[in-house]
Amino acid sequence: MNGGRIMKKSEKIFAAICIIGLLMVNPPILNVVNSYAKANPLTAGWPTLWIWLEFWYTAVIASFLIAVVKIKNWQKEPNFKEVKDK
Amino acid sequence: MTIGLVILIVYTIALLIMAWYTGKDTEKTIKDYTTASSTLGIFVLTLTFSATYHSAYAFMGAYGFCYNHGVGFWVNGIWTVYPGILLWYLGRRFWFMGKKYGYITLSEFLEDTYGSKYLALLVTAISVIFTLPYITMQAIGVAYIFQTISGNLVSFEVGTVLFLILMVLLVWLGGMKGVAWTDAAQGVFMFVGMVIGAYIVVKANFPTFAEGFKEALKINPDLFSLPGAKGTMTNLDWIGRWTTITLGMMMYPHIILRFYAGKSLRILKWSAVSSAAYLTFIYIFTPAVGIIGNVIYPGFKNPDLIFPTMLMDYTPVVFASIIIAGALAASMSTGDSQLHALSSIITIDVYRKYSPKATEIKQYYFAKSLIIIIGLISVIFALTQPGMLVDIITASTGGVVVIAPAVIGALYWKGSTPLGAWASIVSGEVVLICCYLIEGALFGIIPGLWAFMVAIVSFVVVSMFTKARPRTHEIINDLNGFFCGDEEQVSETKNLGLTN
Repeated sequence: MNGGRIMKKSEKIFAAICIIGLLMVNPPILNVVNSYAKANPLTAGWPTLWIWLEFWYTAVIASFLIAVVKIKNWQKEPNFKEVKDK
Repeated sequence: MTIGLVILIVYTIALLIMAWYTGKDTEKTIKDYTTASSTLGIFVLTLTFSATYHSAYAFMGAYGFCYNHGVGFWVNGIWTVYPGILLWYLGRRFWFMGKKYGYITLSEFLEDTYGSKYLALLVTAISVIFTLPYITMQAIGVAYIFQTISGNLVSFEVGTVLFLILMVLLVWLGGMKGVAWTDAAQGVFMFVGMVIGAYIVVKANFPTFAEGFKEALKINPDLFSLPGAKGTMTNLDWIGRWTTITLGMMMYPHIILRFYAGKSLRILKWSAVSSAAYLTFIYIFTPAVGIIGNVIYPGFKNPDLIFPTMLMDYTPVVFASIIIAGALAASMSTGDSQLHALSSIITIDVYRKYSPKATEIKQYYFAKSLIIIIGLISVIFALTQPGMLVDIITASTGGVVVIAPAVIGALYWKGSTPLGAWASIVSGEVVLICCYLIEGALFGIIPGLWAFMVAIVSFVVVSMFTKARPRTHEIINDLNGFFCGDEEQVSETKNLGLTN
């Protein structure tokens, strides 16, 4: 057994969404949004920056939910014949 | 006695009865006391993880932080979304190893992987030392609540003692099962309290949320952008907070014990996604309360108390008291889990190891008696009122995040070596202490992030130049064999005693 990490395509897509989500809520992209928020503090009555952050957090949670349902590799369940109690 | 106090007393009595009832079937063994023998289902695991993850900070510190710094508070969202994902990526590996080799604590796993009992002891010591301030934070939170709800009838000092008594009773009566079930109940209470309570206090002052934000914008526009009203939320501060808190939180013993407690991988998976949603959406109206609080209470002396104060001032006392019980829930659900976790890891990692003749029942009672000692120490710390809740959480997580490279390495990287782990943990802690002694945020980077960066670099560099143990390879092969999913590896996993 080589034991190397092998990610299926669906897992890679989920990982990519997580990373994109992280990039969107951090500098330098956050700085660009922050500059916009300074000029336009409110969007639909709520803080612009808050809406931006909330959008990405929700997107990551939604993709996690889809991943949990769709990724086949995450559906496995081991049956332990014998557990060595320490 | 005020109506508020009566409601809190009824609430706590109900919790104690619940802890006793759900924990009465606990076997008098350290494994059942510590991980409920891995029997928790989706509902309880989700809520005990989430309610334990969120603490007094959620109900008070978060509003205080938002009051002071504005919308930058929502960096918080990173450490509410990603822990759910980490619960799945890290937690499932811990769960698997716990099932296969019977590990109950992080140190047991690290000792096996790295082959060093002293390294395992060091990790236990770090976990204990840096969880204590966190328990202190819960004691402060509970004291604030009693003070607020009783209109200063109950002093801060009496409040901390009440915290001690309540926590000891909850853990003593219930063990892991009792703690988990009361956490679940408190998790529901906390969610309803924070979301509905926040909605009502804003609506009591403004016809719409938008009107409230508009007024706050007139008073202080800096609350709506970074670096915030006090100039604190710089780029480096932002990155430092979420990295140290997101990863640091996952290294606390009360969180890691929950990795082992799920009944199955399916339960762990659904708990992970539910936790991410719960932890994030509980804060849906927090920015509104924190920012609009600047309009209603300009120059408020103790911002950590802004939300309970608004509740008491703008809603009927019975309603406010019921919602504030949610704050008590936030503090208690974390405090009891932390006391339970520390008593468990000291018993398993120290007492059991060095008293091999101690029977199961002796271990069980040793763990229970530790609850009182640890609770007392944290109350003594709390009486010194060491600072704002958010500062305590940042400093405390900085201390535990240092162990993250060695832990994640042991789960994922076959090149991880014992010397790499030693170098990482020791150098990280030294840097953390130096940063706090010298200046705090050196070059704008918070101490926890400095320590974490040094820990990563030390771990990778030293591991690259030293030899990994065959056992490390074996463990990671086991994990990859099952979780990577290629047919060849899965079939070999079957040969190791697993069937798919």
